[in-house]
Amino acid sequence: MNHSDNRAIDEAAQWLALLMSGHASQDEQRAFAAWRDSHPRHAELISRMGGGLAQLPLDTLRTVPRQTVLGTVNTPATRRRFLGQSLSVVGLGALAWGLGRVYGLVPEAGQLQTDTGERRSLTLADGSAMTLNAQSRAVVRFDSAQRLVLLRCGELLVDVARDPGRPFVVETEHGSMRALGTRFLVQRGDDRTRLVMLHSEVEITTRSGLKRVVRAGEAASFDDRGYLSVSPASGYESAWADGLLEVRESTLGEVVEHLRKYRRGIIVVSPQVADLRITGLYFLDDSDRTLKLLERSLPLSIHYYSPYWVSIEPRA
Amino acid sequence: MDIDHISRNQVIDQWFKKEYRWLRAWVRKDTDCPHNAEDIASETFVQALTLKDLLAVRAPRPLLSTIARRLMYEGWRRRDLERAYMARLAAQAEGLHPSPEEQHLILEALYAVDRLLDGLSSNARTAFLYHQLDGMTYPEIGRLLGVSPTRVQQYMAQAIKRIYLVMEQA
Repeated sequence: MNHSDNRAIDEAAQWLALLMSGHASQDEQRAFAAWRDSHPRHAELISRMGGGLAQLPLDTLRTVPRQTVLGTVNTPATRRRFLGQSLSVVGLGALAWGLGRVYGLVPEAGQLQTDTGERRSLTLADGSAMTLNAQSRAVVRFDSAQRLVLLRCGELLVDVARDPGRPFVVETEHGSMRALGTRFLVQRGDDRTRLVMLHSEVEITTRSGLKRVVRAGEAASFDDRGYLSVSPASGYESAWADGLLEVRESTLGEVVEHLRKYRRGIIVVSPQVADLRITGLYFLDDSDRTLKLLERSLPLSIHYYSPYWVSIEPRA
Repeated sequence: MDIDHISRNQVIDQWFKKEYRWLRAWVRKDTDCPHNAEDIASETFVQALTLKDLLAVRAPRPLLSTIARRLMYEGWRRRDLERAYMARLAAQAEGLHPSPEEQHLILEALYAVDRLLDGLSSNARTAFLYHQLDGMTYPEIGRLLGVSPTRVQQYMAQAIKRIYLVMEQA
């Protein structure tokens, strides 16, 4: 954008603000018309700016209490400020190490991490069996009072060894799940944590203070803002531990979300096919085969631009 | 598929081979989860594919890191807005809550408007929204904000310019 165009943009915005006041005098309106007609770019700017304003989703926002709209839109951007600060202190030794730990640069003591396409099964010090799904990170902290596993991201399945003296607790930023001896699965999403009980029971305490006991065959979702809901589990949730992806009436988009954890590179799903419904059993560790199966059972075609750039589109 | 589409894919493919690992590591510095970093890095390449002047770009890293930074910021901002909206919803009687579908639409609308008004003062955002949503006059808005009607007109001009610039960028 050059200097004179920048000036024309400023002028156009000033004129529109005046006209939108509803109090432009006859003289002002004539002056505006003269300005607009003095250069084709002026007329173009006015029509583009007006057109832009017409695209605002005002009808939706009018249904919302005004203070909610204003309060939300005026919420300060916390992370941007923090990011600015963090960039300026990186490199200051101890401080940088602390930040690194927050952002996952430096491994925490007891940290377990899996990469794309990697699933890890291990036996913990107390004899409990834990499996980490791909792209997950957990920190194990056992002491004499409790057995604590912090799930930082991703998903884990645990078969807890019995130890009546030391509860087994899985914690996410949304809350904690406390068990004595049982088998359950925890999935930490961006906004929520999901718990699926496979055997026995677990007590959830959310960060906002809600408590609830979840029994075998049930699944619970909760966050740190007072949301907690329990529903029957589908029974397929732990199939990934065996390298399988079982879906029933899921959308293609959801299935690809799972595959992404197991395939390096990019999978682009065209919006025209993202909502197609699928039921079936697929293979996480052989995503090429899974893609072939999808292509055979749905009206779509899969293009390999390179081994790590796959595009799923409607069949021509 | 036309020539342009093919050569674009070739360019992105080459960038991807050379820069993906670097970009993922770069993003990882600022996200708390390796798989978010992977998503953002991947989405960056997808967005780069749609750039107008892609074939003229000589140094991909500054471009890729700019797109990635914007994606990260947008993700955080979305979450900020969602939290703020949910907090206000929680303060209302449950019977008055919109349905989940409506909540989704409302959040998308709030997010769209927030993006367009990004960088403006809170007075300018407030003035613009009162005018557009409620049809309030400049003197009425001025009384609410404790400023003159002329100042409100300046806020409006700032908002109109901002929205135009953001929309042109897209």
